[in-house]
Amino acid sequence: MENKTTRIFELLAAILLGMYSGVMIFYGMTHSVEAANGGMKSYTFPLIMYGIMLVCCVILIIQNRAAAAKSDKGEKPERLDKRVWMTIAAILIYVALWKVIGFMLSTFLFVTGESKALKKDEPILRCAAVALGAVAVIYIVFVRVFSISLPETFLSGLI
Amino acid sequence: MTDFSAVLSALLSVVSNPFTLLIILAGTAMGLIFGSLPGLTATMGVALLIPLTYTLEPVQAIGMMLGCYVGGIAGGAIPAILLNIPGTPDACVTTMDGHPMAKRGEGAKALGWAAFASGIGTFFSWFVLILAAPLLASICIEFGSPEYCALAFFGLSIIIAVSGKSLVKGIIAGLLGVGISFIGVDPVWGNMRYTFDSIYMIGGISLMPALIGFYSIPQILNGCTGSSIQAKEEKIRLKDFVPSLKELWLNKFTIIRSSIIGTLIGAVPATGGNIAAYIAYDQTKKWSKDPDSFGKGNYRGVISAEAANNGVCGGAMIPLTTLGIPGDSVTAMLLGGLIIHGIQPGPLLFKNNPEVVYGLFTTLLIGTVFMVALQMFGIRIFVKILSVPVNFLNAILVVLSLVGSYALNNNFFDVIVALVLGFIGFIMSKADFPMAPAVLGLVLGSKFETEFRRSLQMSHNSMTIFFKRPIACGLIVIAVIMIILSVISHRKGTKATVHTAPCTKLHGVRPKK
Repeated sequence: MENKTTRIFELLAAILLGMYSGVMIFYGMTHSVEAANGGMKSYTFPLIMYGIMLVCCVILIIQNRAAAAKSDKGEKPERLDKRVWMTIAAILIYVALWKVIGFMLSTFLFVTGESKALKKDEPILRCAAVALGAVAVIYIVFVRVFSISLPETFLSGLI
Repeated sequence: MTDFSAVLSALLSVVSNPFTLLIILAGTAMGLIFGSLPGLTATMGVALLIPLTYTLEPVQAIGMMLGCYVGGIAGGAIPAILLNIPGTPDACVTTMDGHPMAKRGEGAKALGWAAFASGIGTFFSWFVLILAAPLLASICIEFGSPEYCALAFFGLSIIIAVSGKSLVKGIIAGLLGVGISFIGVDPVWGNMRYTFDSIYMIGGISLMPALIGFYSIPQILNGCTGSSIQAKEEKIRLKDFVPSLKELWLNKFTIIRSSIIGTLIGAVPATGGNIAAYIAYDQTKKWSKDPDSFGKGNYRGVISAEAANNGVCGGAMIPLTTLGIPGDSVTAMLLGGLIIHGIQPGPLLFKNNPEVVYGLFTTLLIGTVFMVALQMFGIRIFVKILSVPVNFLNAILVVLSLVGSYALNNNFFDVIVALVLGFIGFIMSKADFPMAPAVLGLVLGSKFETEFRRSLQMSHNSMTIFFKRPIACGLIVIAVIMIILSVISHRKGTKATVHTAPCTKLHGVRPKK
């Protein structure tokens, strides 16, 4: 039997994916492209697939509500650990920083900050040392050995 | 018919040259590194190796590239087992049972089986390659749009089998993957579809960022609250991860069946290891006496996935050598590499350059041996990853995942795609959605649509074309039977859960049937 947290996420996923398929159906219907020689139109096949997806999402929402009605009303959902929220925020800031301070520096800051945030009693110097090592290895493997150009700003002249 | 004495002579010639062996070893090691880093694929490895092979002899160059190919496909299993993050798209299926084994403290055993199954799968396909290449090539050349469409349908039918507890969730996940594959240029008419007037969407959604999004980001977010998986404290001995002859014999049917599936799928151009692994996994589960244990750490799941995805290596060489048609993206790179060295694969290759053909056969075999050996030596080091503190591991995995998304096309948009799909994947994982159908849909969706529409064009919108052609008809019939069997087995499983759940809850044990 699913717990309340799973049910909440299930409902959220079903609504999200249902809305996504709805948007794609609307887009497909408003951007119709005529096919030559009586062949299948460009959006016909996607519209069928998104239509089935929308129906499945509706079925899942109905199943979810039915299960919720049968479940124990006193059951409380588990809250998401704050480290998950912190990691999501850190990832978004990290990616945004790629174009501002460059990949190397933002990676150093991210690895130091994230590893400290996930384990409060981890010495900051150790976190910084691991971050420095990670940046060095990534630089050698990706940039030097495999010649992949990672986004850099003011460090680009240096490396 | 292949001249076996020439193969033997080529083998002796390669083995007696230490430099050639070293070159193949270097290529295989590089392939393993590429395969084990999420985002770096065997295709990229071979592409980067081509310039390094300019000064080498043709056989050495082929050996280096083939070693990288074999190593790249096998290496994907390492992060798939240890971190639940497939290193390559082909290793998605390996996560399903490999990672539960690692969580149970059997990471070394899973890696050992993966290495051996990969080796046997490649060896089997190599044997088929030298034995029946011309015959298989003549069958594969008969494949037209209806056959490709039926093959894609057969692949998509596996969505039902890998849907887990909820069929509806599996279908939604599969359709999400299929839906994402529609973005970009219409494969038949060439107009833009679902691009929302963005130039970044014209090329469609690349597989690797989507894969990182669906597998890696949810895994990182779900794992950031846990502790690291502790590897066994005691020293890992060779016998802990090298399968015994008895174990190999017990699993002979799983290995052979999966290797056959891998070789056959590989021989069909434009398929790939991912499809082969899914089909082989599904078949192993269906033939198993204990299908419920799959997905919970059954080592046969690892064997089937790895034997099949590496079986593709030899299979993909069949159309490449005999027809000059690359079977997948890696063999397309290999084709480019061969042409650079003045070798034109195709029907005349066996006649004009027999030494190259036999050199190719030989180096593929040696690359396979090196791949197994390198993995065996590396297992003790690989399992140490499990003991890395979770705070460091998570932070580094985020960086590797995002670099992996970016590195493929040097495109920042791919990073955004990985993040968006990652957050959707996280919500789906929390809601118990299976991820395998999404990847299956993403890989096969576009192919199915393209070939379906082309088939209808060929037949003037008549569906009878699929039933007039024996190969297509056979594949569709098998797929329909598989769907029916999967649905029946799923319903049985659901009923059993409903009946046993209250007792399990009360007493903590399942009642005997």
